[in-house]
Amino acid sequence: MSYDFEDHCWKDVVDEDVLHIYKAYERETFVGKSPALLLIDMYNMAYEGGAKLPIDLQDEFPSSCGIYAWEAIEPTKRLLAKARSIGMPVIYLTSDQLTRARGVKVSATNRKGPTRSADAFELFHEFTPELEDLLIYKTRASAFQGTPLTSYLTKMGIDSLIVLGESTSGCVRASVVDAYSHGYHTVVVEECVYDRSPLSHKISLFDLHHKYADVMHIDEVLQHLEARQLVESR
Amino acid sequence: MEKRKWSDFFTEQDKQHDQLWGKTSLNGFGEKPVLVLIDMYYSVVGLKREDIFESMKLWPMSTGLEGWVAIDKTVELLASARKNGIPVIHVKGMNSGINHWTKGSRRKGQSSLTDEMIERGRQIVDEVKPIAGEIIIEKAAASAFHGTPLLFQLISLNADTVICAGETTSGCVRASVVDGATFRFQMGVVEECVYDRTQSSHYMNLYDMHQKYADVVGLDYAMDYFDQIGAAKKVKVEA
Repeated sequence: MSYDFEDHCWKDVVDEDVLHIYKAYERETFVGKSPALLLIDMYNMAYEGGAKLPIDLQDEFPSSCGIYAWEAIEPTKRLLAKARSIGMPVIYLTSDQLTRARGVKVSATNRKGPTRSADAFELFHEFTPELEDLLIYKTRASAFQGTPLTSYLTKMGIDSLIVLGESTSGCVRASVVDAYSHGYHTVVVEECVYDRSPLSHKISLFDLHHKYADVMHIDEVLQHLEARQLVESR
Repeated sequence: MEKRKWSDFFTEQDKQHDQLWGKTSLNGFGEKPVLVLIDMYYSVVGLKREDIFESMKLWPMSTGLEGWVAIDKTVELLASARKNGIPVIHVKGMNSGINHWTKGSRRKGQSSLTDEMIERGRQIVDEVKPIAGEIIIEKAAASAFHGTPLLFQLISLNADTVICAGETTSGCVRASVVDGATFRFQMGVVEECVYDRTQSSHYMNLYDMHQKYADVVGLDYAMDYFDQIGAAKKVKVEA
């Protein structure tokens, strides 16, 4: 499976002129040497109301990514299964509720808070962490801000990340920019990240792909991991 | 300045040096203090009030009676903070199942602690446990700032001063005080409310912190300060 550098979901929103201006970013994409899977904010609140358009869920579940979240379930499960089969570390992030007190608002965005169910920030049932996985609670958009993530990555010998989850324009984007700043090579799996806004999703992936990370398709990443498995089992 | 306990550990040269260069007045505290209690959980004092060597038989990291004395003093400090509306943040270890950050695993396997007791050991001691509305932060490093949202919380609270209690003086308290000073908070350490398992380390770290990063003050001084802050708040509310 081979894709052109610009063969991605932003094709229909980025015009020829911009692609020309961005030529200098063109390069080979790759998965790092010792990667970990980073699953960002795949909690219940993102899936609430089922596989519908966010606009149809707006009144009841304003934080749901609806259909976009549900469409990512199947590819994410495939990638998770592959990662586990080759012993790749799996790291989940979710929102920290422990440090919310005294009305001091330290949270990921400035969004007005909807009423939340008690298990809103529990991980969605399809993605329940296993015993050997790492679960990190964060308060801000980036997985790196105010969390011990780098300490763990160093301790676990991780040099690169494969990022999945939501939202593409929010926590995924913030985390990927910080990962780049910290020196980790990062792959964002196009089919496994999602957003409430398709346009924000596409443009964020466009920005990340050119500047900070390699946006890759699920089959490219799977193929890469399979090749790695073959080499390692030789 | 009055003689401080740490001077008992000075060499002759240190005494002379302190005469020449020692701190002669406090840096002072600001108008928006926050009280941070560091690592006040059971495994560093044991479940019973016992002498350090007795306590260590079951809890190798115990600070013994010195820890319990400091906890009792911290109860007073904590009450004063709560009475005066000073925000309290509790910091404790994170239990993620991944290797601990220290290399102190040499005694592994020698302890007869049950899983239940290990879990109890991770809990903040009842005497100073958080009440509703107080922030609890879990950390995976010595410093309360490293890899935690503590800085965001302090900035959101508009804090200018951080008063510390807890343990160990030479470990997590010092690391947190150094980071706090680096972030330009006015740092305070309450002498009676910090503890360690090594007396000389305790006192020399108090000395270092007092010289370089913080005001190491007595419990009475800290409570007077909290009262002043509380009184100033009242005036503001009434005005």
